[in-house]
Amino acid sequence: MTQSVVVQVGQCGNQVGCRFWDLALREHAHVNKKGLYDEALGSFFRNVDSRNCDGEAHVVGGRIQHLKARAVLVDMEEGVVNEILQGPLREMFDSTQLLTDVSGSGNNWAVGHMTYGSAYREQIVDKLRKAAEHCDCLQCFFLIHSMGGGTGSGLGTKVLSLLEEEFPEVCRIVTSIYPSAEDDVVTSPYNSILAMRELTEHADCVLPVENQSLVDIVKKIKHMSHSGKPGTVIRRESAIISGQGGLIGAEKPFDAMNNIVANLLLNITSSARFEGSLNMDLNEIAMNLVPFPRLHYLVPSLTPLYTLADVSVPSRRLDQMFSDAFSKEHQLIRADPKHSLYLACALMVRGNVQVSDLRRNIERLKPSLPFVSWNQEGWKTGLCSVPPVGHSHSLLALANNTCVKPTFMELRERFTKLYRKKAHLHHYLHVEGMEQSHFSEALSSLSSLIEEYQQLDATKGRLMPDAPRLRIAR
Amino acid sequence: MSVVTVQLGQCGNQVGQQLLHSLLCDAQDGQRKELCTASRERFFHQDTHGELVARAVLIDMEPKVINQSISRAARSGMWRYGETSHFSQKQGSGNNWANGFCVHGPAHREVVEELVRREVERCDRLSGLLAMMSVAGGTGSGVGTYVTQCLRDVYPKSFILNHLTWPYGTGEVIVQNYNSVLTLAHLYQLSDAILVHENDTVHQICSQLLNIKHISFADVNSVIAHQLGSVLQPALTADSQGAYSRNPL
Repeated sequence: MTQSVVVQVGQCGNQVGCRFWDLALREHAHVNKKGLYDEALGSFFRNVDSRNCDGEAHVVGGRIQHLKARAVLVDMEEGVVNEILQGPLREMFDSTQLLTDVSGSGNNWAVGHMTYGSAYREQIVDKLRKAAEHCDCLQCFFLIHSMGGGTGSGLGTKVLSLLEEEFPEVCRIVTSIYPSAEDDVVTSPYNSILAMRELTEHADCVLPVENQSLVDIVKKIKHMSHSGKPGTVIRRESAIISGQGGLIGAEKPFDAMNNIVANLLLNITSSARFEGSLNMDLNEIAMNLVPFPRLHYLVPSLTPLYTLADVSVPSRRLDQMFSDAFSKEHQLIRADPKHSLYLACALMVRGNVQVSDLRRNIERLKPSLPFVSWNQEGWKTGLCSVPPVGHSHSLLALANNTCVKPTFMELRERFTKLYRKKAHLHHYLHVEGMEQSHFSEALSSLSSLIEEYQQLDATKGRLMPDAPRLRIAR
Repeated sequence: MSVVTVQLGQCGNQVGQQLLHSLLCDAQDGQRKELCTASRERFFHQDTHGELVARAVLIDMEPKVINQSISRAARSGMWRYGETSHFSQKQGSGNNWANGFCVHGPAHREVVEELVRREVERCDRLSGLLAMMSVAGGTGSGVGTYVTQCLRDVYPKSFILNHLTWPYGTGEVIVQNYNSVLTLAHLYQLSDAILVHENDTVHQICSQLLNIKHISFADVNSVIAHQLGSVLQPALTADSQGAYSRNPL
């Protein structure tokens, strides 16, 4: 069994990370009835004996003594991390896993990436190394951060490049929270584009998540639960936004949205942690869904969003779940995959679903989904037998689709609006190590990425001629 | 005439476990005593406590499926796998044939050869080796091809039968086409015979002939096991003079 380390950077990253650890504990508590430290638990947690002063980790099979999260928490201001350390999750992190500073990055990518990046480089590498050494077989780093701010975006991408340098064979899966159009941070387009370049070059896989989609999903669930129609009462802990049953009691404002992202991460790793009839490991995600190294942006979509409490109402049919996964309302970024080209698609199913259901639904949905000409049967499937808490089955769809192109183009639009006027630029250029060329390079990196997607889009509906070297002898 | 089964990857292990189970169930069914003994002797050996232990080696690059297969076998109460007849690593091959063939295969060559050698030496008369794998994944296809190559080197005169599970046409793994072609390219020269079961066809058998509504992989695997049993179980032929001594492979 392999282990994964979660690196959470910045306010957003740490808040999402906090929800992730809470829900991970809840899920394992639900599954692990005997209180034994099993391999599934070991993929995210270490078992230490707190009486033993050097905290030697225990082997798999023993009773759970004291769980420590395999995580590194980084933030340049102390507020969020302090809150975590005062909450019920404080036992899970020890001081060697934290890195904080006092003044924050001021929503400035350059401060995060250049200033703090070089100042804290040794410490960051040290902490990452410690976390990696505790792992028997480290498979993947999960980086959680936002794109719009300063720390998450700047220092987060610096951490990403350090991960590539120090641990080149370990997979890097990045969950990036993209700013919505009405974002409160004025310089978020600058921060996002500067960070995008790092993501394109250093990440293995990126799961872009947009705040606006999360808001829409939360609204939809709240609307459903308050509509008062008979047969529409939702089981409390089943909603994808609920943290019920976790350690942390009172719900804070962004909790509902962050729970969705936490659930995304739990579902991605479910097949690697739990058994199933068709396992899908983390290294298979990158292998199957990334046809060309730079095009590694995967659109996530999660279903079901909730389970109805009334058992007399027939449970939503399985087929409905599959159709939902391809509807715009369940996606975590605002995009239109059905009218763009699919390069690859992965369906990770959890719970009591059989292979025939999977096949039937793929057959049913395939005609309406445009796939690229050289990969008409581009589906990767995984079946895990353990369902998430509160549901009998669930589905996570990861699509590598050219529909991210409009999202990136919009981001570029917002960037150019500011950049044309050179607004706010001086804050960045004052930072040591930052030059105007960084901006233009980042912009051209994004433009070439958009161009690559554009070229694939242009082949939609047409058969691509074979590249000369692939001509098959007749 | 014994057959040593080598189960590779998730599919190979799941189908292999089901196969051995079906073979034993067939043999229990109050048939003629000679048939039962011959069949049992072919695929199992008796340990010191009289329990039936499969003549099988389980190989996978990650431990979950092997653990599942071993516990399923033990739960049946009729047979089990040998305690040391399995080999697993921590991290899978990631659906990557190259990873299986060039990295994991050579790295664990000695261990695997040793495990197979132990099983082979336990047989009185070896008919040959049955390698079970899928062609879509990384371990089954990559490590499976490499192991077949090693076995061919170590046992040049024995029969090697490769049982391949062909993936669904509409895709289980996106790079399955690469993995299948690379596997077949090597197996053509190494194997004595290749038996293919297509997931699509077996699926149709389950739905149309057996009328199973919700087909699970367990159903698919039992159909495959049933068909394999009809080939591998001991049989009388015109000139075998009433003894089950023909080499099935």
